[in-house]
Amino acid sequence: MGVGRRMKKQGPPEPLDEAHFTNLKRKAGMSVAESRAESQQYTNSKKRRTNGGAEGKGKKNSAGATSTKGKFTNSLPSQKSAPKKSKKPELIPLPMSDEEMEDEDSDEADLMGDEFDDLSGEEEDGGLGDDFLESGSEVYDSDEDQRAKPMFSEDEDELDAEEKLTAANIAGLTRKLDEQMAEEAADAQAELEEAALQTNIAGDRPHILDDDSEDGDGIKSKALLAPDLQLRRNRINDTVRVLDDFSNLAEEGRSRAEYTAQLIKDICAYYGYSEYLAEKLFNLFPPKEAFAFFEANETPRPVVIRTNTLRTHRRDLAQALINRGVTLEPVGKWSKIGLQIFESAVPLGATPEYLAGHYILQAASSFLPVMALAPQEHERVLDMAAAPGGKTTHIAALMKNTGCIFANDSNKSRAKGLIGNIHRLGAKNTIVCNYDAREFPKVIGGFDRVLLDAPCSGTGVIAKDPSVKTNKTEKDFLMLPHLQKQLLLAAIDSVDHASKTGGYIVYSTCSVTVEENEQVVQYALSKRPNVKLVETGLVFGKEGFTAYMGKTFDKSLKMTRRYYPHAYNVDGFFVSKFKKFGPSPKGSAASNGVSKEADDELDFDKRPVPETEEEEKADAFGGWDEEEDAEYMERARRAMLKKKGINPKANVGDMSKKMNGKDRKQSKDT
Amino acid sequence: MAPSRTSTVKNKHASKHAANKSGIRNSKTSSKPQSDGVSKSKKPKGKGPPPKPQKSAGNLATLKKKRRVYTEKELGIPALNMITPVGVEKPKGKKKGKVFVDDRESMLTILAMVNADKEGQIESKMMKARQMEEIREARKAEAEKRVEMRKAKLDETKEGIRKKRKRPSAGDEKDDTRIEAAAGTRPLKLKKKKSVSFA
Amino acid sequence: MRPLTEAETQTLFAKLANYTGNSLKNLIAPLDNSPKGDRYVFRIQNSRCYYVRLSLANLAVSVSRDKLLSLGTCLGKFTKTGKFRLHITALPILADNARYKLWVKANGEMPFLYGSHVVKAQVGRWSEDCPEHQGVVVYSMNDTPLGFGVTARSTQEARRLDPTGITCFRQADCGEYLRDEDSLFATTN
Repeated sequence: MGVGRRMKKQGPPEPLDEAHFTNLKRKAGMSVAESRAESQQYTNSKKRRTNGGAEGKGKKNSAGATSTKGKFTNSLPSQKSAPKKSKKPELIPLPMSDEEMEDEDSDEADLMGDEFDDLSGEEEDGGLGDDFLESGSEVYDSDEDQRAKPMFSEDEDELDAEEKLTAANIAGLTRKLDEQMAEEAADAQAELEEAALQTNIAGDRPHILDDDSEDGDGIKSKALLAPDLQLRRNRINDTVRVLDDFSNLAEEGRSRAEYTAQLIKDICAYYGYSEYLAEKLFNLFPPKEAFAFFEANETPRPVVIRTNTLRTHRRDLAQALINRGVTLEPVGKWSKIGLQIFESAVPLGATPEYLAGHYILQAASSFLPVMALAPQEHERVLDMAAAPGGKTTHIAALMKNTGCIFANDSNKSRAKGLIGNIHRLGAKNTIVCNYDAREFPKVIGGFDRVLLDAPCSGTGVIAKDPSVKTNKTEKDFLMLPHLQKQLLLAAIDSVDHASKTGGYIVYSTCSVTVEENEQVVQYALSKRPNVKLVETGLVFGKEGFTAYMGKTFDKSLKMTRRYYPHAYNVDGFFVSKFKKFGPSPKGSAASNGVSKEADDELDFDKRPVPETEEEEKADAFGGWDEEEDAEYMERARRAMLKKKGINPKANVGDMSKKMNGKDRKQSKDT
Repeated sequence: MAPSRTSTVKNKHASKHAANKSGIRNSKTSSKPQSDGVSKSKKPKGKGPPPKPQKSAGNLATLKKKRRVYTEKELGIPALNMITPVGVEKPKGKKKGKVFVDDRESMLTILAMVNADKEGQIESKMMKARQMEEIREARKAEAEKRVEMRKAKLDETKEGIRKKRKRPSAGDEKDDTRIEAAAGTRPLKLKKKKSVSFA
Repeated sequence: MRPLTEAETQTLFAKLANYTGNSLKNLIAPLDNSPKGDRYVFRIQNSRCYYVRLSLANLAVSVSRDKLLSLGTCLGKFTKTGKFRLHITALPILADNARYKLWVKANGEMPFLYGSHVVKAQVGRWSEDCPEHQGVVVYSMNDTPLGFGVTARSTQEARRLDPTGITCFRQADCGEYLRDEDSLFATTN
């Protein structure tokens, strides 16, 4: 299943649905060629378009796109392509998100497609070795006419003409597509209803919940002891379906909450999440999407490399790697430097090209914050948490080694890899330092741009690091946002608002939780009235939340972007971009007040931590006997000190008493 | 070398020393007659040029005095304990610690020096290599010649032995071989002969 | 962070000149002709020598000594005995100004990148008139610099060498980015 998933085209693709996942599972047995062909379907349509006339293009594309669209409507009726539409309303209002994307940056896309068509042309001309052709054939050969008639960049004009034609036809095309789409949607709806009916008749599935709760704990514990995964999975499916159409499918007298609780329990057991995290993640999405999210976390994301434009061009790199038996393809229209790797005969981290710094292994999501930052030449840029250097070297490449980049990382051992990558990729404009990034405006300020890719819980990269599923606790979700808030304020204060070219801050995390993203941004907006959110300039991604679980955030949070593994086949990610338009308030900025400010923040934020914990515990266990606890704590502390060889009678006891007293007072206050 | 900061400073230092010495020897009059404390303050002021006018203005009387002071200074060990001489020893304008090279000119001079050095090395290496090559060639030729000679000698002896052997057996063949030997294609013919004889 | 002393400059230049020859002066040429134009300078930090734009070095002054880990391009380090050791990180600078070059064929790339010397069978091209024990920069056949080393034989001598004979002793190669990351960038001391 992993392979199938990796084979999937990256970029703004169709959202996934259950059917898709079951497909993926089946795909595991497929030959590489087959699955490649399938995953290439999309690209092929693009290639064919470049070859065929305008009319052919319209037809083929519409056919392909409609099928994907069909899936889309099928799977997630709740989340239409609204974000994309609203994002660029001034553009030709095509009904389908995919198609729309394609046309939005069609120039770019064509250029790029061309670049690679060209490449395959060269392949042919070069008369490459037999075994190369074999390996390559799986990728590029599926398109025979493509081979027969190699494209070169001179053909661009033709393409432009074709583009115009398309624009002329667009009204007609749109109508046609609309019709087709409506038809498909209707079909899909019918199918869905039918399926629902069938399952209802066959198994009366919605009863599942009943069984459990009636029979009580006995069955549940049994299920925990020997979890029948298939059963779990079926039940998850059913529960999701029920939640999706609650009024029709729910049992009488059953509340939504019961179903949800059951679903979360099942998800915990099936995927191995801690209940706390499962609930947190589940609450981010509608049930169906949540299920897709959890499912997507089980499959790896595609391997992506970023061309180092300081050393080479993507086309040359692609050619060199193809010659080494690597199967690859541009990562998507949104990036001109990314290459997605499908399979490789050699270790990608040890090819001569890698060692010579022609590329770096970097997840597609990591391109996004740098693209949002959009550093310009001759600027002064700060990367607050730089290791391992993928983003730093990306910035350096965009700045063409001019200006100055401060690459900071608080972890010295991680900084080693950072320095290695900086040198390997040939970035000459960096200064690597090892501060706690919160010290920053004090070290040096006046930056044109600051990138803060903050340390986070990693809930977006569970596929990469499954340990997140269990090792993140409530405490992490209090501590991390706290740190992130401090860092973001430091980042804002480090920026020169009067910069002619810049004055931007990009805040990003590889987490999907609201606490680490929207809430942090909201906090910064309220603490620093001299910044505002601006558009990230990224062509895809979902809008950030403006309201969540009863909290409402600033309207401008719409301009932030969220990325999900199930929606875009990239790591879960969050990107926001600020513009600083005025000096930071006195006492907070630059010179002197920073540490004080940080301390203030610390006090401000830390206090609630123990309080909330206490409150919750009090709720759960029915009160808290302070006196009794104090005694135990005191005893434990003494034992510990004795162990350490410190005299427990020396002053320490007093401290603890004081502390306890304070605590009590506080809890009384609240 | 001259433009480097270090060297200039060093030169200053050196020149100061030189001036001092010369002043002392040539009767640097006006600065010396006063007590040590005064001399300290004056020395840094007049590096090179000031003493000269003084020198020119110097009297014979002061000259004597100065000589005395000078000798005291030179011989009297307690002078070392005084603050002044120590201060005098220290070059006033010079910064403590390392002297950095950061201007382009001095770097260029160092570079030129290094380059010349390297160039010379490479040159000599190449020369040496070429010479070695020549020698090797010569030796090779010689060795070849020697091998040839040895071969010829060997053949000759072989021939001699053969002749000796053949002489008693067949009288008429002897003449033929002798002719061949004169033609210089002895071994080949011989072989032929042999094969014929065996066939 | 500080500039180099005279002795250090000399040691460094002597080392670099092994590979670059006369074009070494390109290294310190001003980037533009304006009087206040930027230029490249050398800086020492934590016994490592960095080649860095003056403007960048001036900005790096604000970073305290124990917190500054690297700036610009690291050339190598001064040993305790005052000698200078070039690191692989200096390769781009050497490659830009190389005097003697050696191209290895595809069959020699990986062995070289894994730390082997270059044997004659792997040599694709070689600068003419190269003396022995001379610094050379090693390239792949498509002109990608891979590392540097010293010649084991002069060009003429190497002609007579058998295919397994070593023509160039490896000193540094790009593979060190993977193999020696820890020692290349000592951030612990």
